[in-house]
Amino acid sequence: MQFDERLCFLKGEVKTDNREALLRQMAGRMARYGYVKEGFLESILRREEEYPTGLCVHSAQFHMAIPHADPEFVNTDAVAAAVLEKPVAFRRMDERGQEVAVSLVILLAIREPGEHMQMLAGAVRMLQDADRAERLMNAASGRELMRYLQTLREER
Amino acid sequence: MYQGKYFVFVCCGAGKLTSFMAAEGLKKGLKAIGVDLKKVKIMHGMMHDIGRHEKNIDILVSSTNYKGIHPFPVHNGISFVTGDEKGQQELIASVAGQLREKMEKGE
Repeated sequence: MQFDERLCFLKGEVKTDNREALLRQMAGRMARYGYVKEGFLESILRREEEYPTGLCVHSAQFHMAIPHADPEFVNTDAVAAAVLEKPVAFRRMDERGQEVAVSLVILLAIREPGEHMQMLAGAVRMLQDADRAERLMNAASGRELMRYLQTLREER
Repeated sequence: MYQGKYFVFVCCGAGKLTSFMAAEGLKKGLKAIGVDLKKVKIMHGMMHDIGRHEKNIDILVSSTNYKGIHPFPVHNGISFVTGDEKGQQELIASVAGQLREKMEKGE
């Protein structure tokens, strides 16, 4: 799985509070660098409608969303991340009709889910730890942000 | 039952990510409290496939929103995704109880 710093959006970089516009920007980056095929964004949006991915992280200050698409639109497994200064509303995964304001979006291009699973579980733990969450949310560079995600994949 | 084992089906939308997380967490948790996993088949997959497995499922765990009604118990496994440890322990205990009851009755 690729942890490409070009797929990072640091705090303040994303100007929209619209979910679709945000996902369009993130998916666009993934497409530009060849990680995904045409149709990836549409697949993400369609899936988000049918099976929302907003996660209300237990006892955490920041919440996250983990959009993903059908594997057929993926060239190479990769992750894009956006830290949002102003949270964006995502529909909740577990409660139909409810939304959660998320500050971290981890967009996944997946063919094989094993590694991603560990990274997501790690990201949840990181958000639950106030100090580590602050560090993640205030990453100063794409490289730093990706390094966090990469480390999370390895912790157990 | 599925191939002679008690069948716990863990599902989510894509059948890949959150159901995988919940299934792994459930396996670990059941093992930790001494449930004999040789007698249990825990599989993760798509919500869409519940119908296909309906006849075989003993216990269903959904890691996303699911409100279907079935002859078998239906659990919410979101705690494995959101990191709610208390919720995880409650779910593990509840699934373990149901499995043990079945094993005792020899169902």
